[in-house]
Amino acid sequence: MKKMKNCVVTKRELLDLIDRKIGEGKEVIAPAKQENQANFKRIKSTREILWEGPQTVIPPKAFLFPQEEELMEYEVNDEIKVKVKVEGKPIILLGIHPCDMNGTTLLDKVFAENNLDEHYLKKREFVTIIGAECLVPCSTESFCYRKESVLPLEGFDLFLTDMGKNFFVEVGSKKGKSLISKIARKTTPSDAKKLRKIRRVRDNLFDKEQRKLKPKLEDLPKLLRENYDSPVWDEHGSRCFNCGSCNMVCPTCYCFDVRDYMELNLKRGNRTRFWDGCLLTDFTKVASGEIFREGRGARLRHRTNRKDWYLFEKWERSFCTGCGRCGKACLTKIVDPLDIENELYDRWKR
Amino acid sequence: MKKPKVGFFEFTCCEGCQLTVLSLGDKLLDLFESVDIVNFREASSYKGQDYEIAFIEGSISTSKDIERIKEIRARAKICVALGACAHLGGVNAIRNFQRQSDVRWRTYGDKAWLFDSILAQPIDAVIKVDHVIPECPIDKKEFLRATASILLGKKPFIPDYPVCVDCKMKANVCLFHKPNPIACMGPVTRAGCGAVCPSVGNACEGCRGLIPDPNLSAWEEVLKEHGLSIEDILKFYHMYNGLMGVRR
Amino acid sequence: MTIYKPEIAKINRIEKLTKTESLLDIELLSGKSLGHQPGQFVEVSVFGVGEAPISISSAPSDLATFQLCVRAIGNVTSALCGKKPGDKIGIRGPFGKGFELKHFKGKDILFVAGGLGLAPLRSLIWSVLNSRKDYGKVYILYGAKIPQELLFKEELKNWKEREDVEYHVTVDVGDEKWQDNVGVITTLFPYIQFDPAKTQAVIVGPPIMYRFVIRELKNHGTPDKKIWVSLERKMKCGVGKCGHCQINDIYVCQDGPVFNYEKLKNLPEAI
Repeated sequence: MKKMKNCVVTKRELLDLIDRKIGEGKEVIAPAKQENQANFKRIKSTREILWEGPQTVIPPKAFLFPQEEELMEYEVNDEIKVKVKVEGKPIILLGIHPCDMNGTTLLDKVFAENNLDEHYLKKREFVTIIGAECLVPCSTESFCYRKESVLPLEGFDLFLTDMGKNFFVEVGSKKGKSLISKIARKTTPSDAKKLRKIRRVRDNLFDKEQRKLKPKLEDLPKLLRENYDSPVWDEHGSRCFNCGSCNMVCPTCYCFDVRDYMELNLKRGNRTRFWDGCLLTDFTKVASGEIFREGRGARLRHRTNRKDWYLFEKWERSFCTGCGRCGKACLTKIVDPLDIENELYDRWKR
Repeated sequence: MKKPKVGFFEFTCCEGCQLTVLSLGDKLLDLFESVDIVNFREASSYKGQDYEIAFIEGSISTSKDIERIKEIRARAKICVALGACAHLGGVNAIRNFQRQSDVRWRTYGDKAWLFDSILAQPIDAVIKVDHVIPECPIDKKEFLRATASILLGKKPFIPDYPVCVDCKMKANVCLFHKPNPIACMGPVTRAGCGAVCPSVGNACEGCRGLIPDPNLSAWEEVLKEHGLSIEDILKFYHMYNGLMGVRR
Repeated sequence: MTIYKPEIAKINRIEKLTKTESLLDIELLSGKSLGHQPGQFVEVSVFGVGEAPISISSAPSDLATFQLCVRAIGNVTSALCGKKPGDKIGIRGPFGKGFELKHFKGKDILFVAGGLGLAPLRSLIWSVLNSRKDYGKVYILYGAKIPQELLFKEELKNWKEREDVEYHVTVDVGDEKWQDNVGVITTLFPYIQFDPAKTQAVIVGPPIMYRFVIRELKNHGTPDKKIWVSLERKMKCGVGKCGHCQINDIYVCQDGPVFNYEKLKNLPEAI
């Protein structure tokens, strides 16, 4: 992505700008408090935004790759008419954490690879992403610093860093640039200096507070390859519900099922895709009843391998952003990739 | 195309599932247009015996029930268990875990000898069931989709994965993770309900039956960590899954 | 047009091969030839019922029609087998990597088919037999559970009679009329004498079969890179997105379903 000029805006002016947009009917989605956690919701005012953790229950992928998405509808008479639904609507995703921007960037890659998934890409085209840097860890489960995910790679239109009265703004796209062109002012050397200091403090804090990843990040594919037959998989797997919670809440899990539904008149129907997960028992089941990935441990291994081996090697980047959602969601505390990788590493070294 | 003839039948239950069908609103008209309903006590006094598809609600709990359901099976090409009582034995089966003489006395008093009640059973303990539409009561959307599937000659899609999937899709805060945690049967219960109970802060009680491969030891471990005793855990099972209602 | 939109096609003919399998002749309404490679598959839609991956059973040709051999086992396949000529369905594909004939030209070929595995293999067998002189010796070993389940019985007779094909058949359980071999597929190996150095072996069958046949081939000294297989998986989207058909780091719908064993042996989830 071509780097655009950074700028500075006052917080007041930016928030007023967003509130005006909301007033004009613009759909703005941001993390907001939900009980003792958080969730994305359509906000009526920027005052609702939860700028600092906890992490939202589900990631922003839901706005690009919805839980349930009609791919096409059809009419079956003597002729068959199929109408594909490729739709998007303009929304602003605001206050997105760096881990989730990185997750989105990875989804952008996989959905645009080879066979373009227009259903995803059309939605993506319409979305404006305004990220916000995390200056304190959002939860005890997160380990984004260990996954080099405290800053976004790309995939944002604007990226805000809180500098007290101002936001330091990294501009990622023309869309982002035009959004704030009226309120942006040039950065000064002291702004840049201040930003560096904020990030240094942030790095130190995250390094101190977040759990350590014992193997080197770049060694994860090798670690997983060499521990394919480790007993760790079945030990963790024996306590797995195969409930798929880890898949659902993951910002980079994008597997889906597709199902046809017919109306009662048996004339009109639709083909809809749903989130699916490799931890679910039937994920690999074919019509004959054969399940090609049998065993709770094997399914857990596949998910971990996808994140930190298969897709890591293919895209040269871990597909686990360290957001910590799966570790939080897992009732038996068996799925957290960092825990698993540390355990594999400890036993491997011995 | 000739409309298929359909009958609705009830055994021991609250008839809430048939009420759900009746409360489909506009969609009920679609149903009437797609099938000929020849037997539906809650909607019509007409009782035709020439049905091809039988929707059966309720559990089997008298010896007369057994005869009657066998007759229905003999007439219908397709038998569909409607709701938790037909599917799992439902709440009626709670009595199976009590002394039967006590239960009969409590229910019928000194007239107990007049009633031939037996242990409550799901209908597939007596007849072959072709399809199940689970839940207590059934879900409208799922009923419509499943009925369309059956008319199309297709096995209805009923998930075999746990309620957690639905619950996460709804972006709910997990009941186990609330400030005051609530023990929930979601991790071992069949999804498809859209996590209707957890979404309003109530525990899943397992009314859609257990998934085919529930990790019960892990679930019991989690419940114990949350301070539940064996008795509490059994109560959980007995609500709907006393007969260990894994769909057969 | 998106990657998920099926093209409408017409069923021209349905032939019941066995109690559960039917052979469908299908023509795209666009009149275009499918343009497939032997071993590739299509995603077949029965609207309202769903979509299922089915391997193409006919050899590539310029004709507008192609053939699918379908076992009525799931929702889509049962619906397909219940269709009538003239009925419309949806087709996406062809998808995946099939058999590249260049690997087989000039070589001896040993075909090993189990059950419904003959359906995809038939597409390659006829590609070879249609230009028979381009290939060396041809062996076909075919096994089914019972005689009634043998597919393409007329063609089997043809192969048996041909002088340029060495064909052997077996069933797990015979009946009073059965005169050929009884036993699992590997019990046919003693009947043939192939030269492992010159032979490309192609195996398609139920999951359990691969391990035994590969072991047999290795015992005969067949090198890994001369063994080819086609794998069944749940290819839901066909375009490398949905994740269901993944075997370790590869997608069967993209990198397969046809694989060389040299590559496959390093994938623990494969066989």
